[in-house]
Amino acid sequence: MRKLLSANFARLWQSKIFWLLECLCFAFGAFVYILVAINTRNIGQGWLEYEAHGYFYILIFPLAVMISLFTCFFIGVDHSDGCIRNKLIVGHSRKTIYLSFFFTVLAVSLLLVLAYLLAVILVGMPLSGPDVLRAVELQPWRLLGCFLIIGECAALFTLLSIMDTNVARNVVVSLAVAVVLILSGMYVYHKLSQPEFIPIVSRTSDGYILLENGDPNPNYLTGMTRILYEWLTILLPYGAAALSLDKRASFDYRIPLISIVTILLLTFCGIRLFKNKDIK
Amino acid sequence: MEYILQTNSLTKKYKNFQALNGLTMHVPKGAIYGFVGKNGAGKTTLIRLICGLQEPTSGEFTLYGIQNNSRDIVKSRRRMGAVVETPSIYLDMTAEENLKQQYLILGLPSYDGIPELLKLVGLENTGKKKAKNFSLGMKQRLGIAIALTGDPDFLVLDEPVNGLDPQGIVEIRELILKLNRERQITILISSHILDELSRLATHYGIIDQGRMVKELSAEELEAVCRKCVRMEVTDTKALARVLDTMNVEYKILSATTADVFAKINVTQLTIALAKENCEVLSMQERDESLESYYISLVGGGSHA
Repeated sequence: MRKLLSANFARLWQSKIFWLLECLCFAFGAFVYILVAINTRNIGQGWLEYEAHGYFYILIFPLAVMISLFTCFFIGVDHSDGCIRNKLIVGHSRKTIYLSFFFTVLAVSLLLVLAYLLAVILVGMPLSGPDVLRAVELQPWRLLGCFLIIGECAALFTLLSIMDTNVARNVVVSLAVAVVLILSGMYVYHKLSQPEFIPIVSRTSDGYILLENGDPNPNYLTGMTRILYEWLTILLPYGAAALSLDKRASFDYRIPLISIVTILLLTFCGIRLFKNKDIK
Repeated sequence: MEYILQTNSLTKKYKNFQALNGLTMHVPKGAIYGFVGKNGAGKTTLIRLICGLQEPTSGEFTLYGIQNNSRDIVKSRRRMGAVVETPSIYLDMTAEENLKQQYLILGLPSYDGIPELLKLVGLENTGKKKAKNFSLGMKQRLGIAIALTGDPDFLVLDEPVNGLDPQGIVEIRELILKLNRERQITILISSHILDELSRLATHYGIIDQGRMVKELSAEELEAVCRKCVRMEVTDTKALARVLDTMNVEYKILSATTADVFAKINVTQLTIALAKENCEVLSMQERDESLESYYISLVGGGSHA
């Protein structure tokens, strides 16, 4: 495993797609912080500390697309150039090859997040000073939840890429899966976070803004449908991601557990399928 | 005889197609084993099985005496190198970078052997040129260099001269001979270019429709393919008596046919046979090559 990982990382530093994605994440981080700085100036410092965290972790959503692209090209090249055969011929087991790819993809995912956060902090420090560090801070459980959701993406896209030797087809399939994952998760979470009553906003004579419960919200989910949506939210990686990043919502401790089970299940299935795959 | 690779009734089935059909073969240590067969005969399938790229449907093989279903087969594979069909190289890397990758995959402690390997395959001057800009022959040689990383003593080459120009063919041939003679590497080389194979191989395995038709050494092949005159006569016993008196080597094939392995004086022989009341019906000079021998074994296929 160590040998394959060192070979993968040696190739990684030369990979154009890796550096392109790193630059993209860095630029995205800088762009996001500029938006945050504009909002902070317009709304106030309190917004930065209590409301802006959602912006800082927004990368987790496009990250699925980035991981899918990276795995398609990185693992796909091993297939298309035939180099995966070199690993098998010299006696590496399929399980080791599979796991080495998974850990490489996982490490790359984390490196992309680091590039993004680095840009946020580097751009944020001159604009907002040390406040940016407090704003970026996330509870450890939520952080772990996000990390494991990234792990789920890494496991899923490793499986897809290692099983399909056709790079072009794999890019299309993986991108489609990534988009479906993101949209389905966000849709489910959006449905679930509907308020029970439609809020009525009014202003008192002395200028205070008053928020009252109005009529019951017809889109509010109840009964079995709500339970179903609650499960879907924590089962779908991007439902779980949205929930983990919402500081106002309480953290669901089933999320890390489900993510761990999903990662193990995907990796186990991937290894089994790869073991039975005929390689040309 | 010590064998590097032995297969026993190996079969491989893809959905409705039987690629290998009970193949049994023996690759002796130190040999250049020419694996001959038409396209689709099962050569590449066998190579994929022994390289661990695919699993056999049934049957077994041993590599350095270790059975394919043993856990230790992985260790015995570390002693072999292979180029299966197209060379397995990263096209966006240089020759040196490709070799460094293979060194890392093998876990070799230093890159010291890389210049020597590049020199061995004649790629020492490729510098920063990416493999995607290499000629087919250069890619093939880089593939062989990668297969040689880690000093294997068994090298498997699948159609190594396919698509190469004459110069490239000569370079690959010389390299293979050099590896076999100077490094004592056993080589299994599959090809359907019989003329090229006959310049290299010390042993042959002729495969057709997934079965081994014939295994023989180069000496045996030479004996089979000797220049001879095939004679059809009315009485081969009389022919044998006359040839014995002339001290000529021959082989009786049937009651009326015999092969004579010498340059004979036709008039003298005909007169001698006439005295024995034996008539000469026909005479034909035969110069059998590997190609004609192959055709005689598997029939005149269109691809061979």
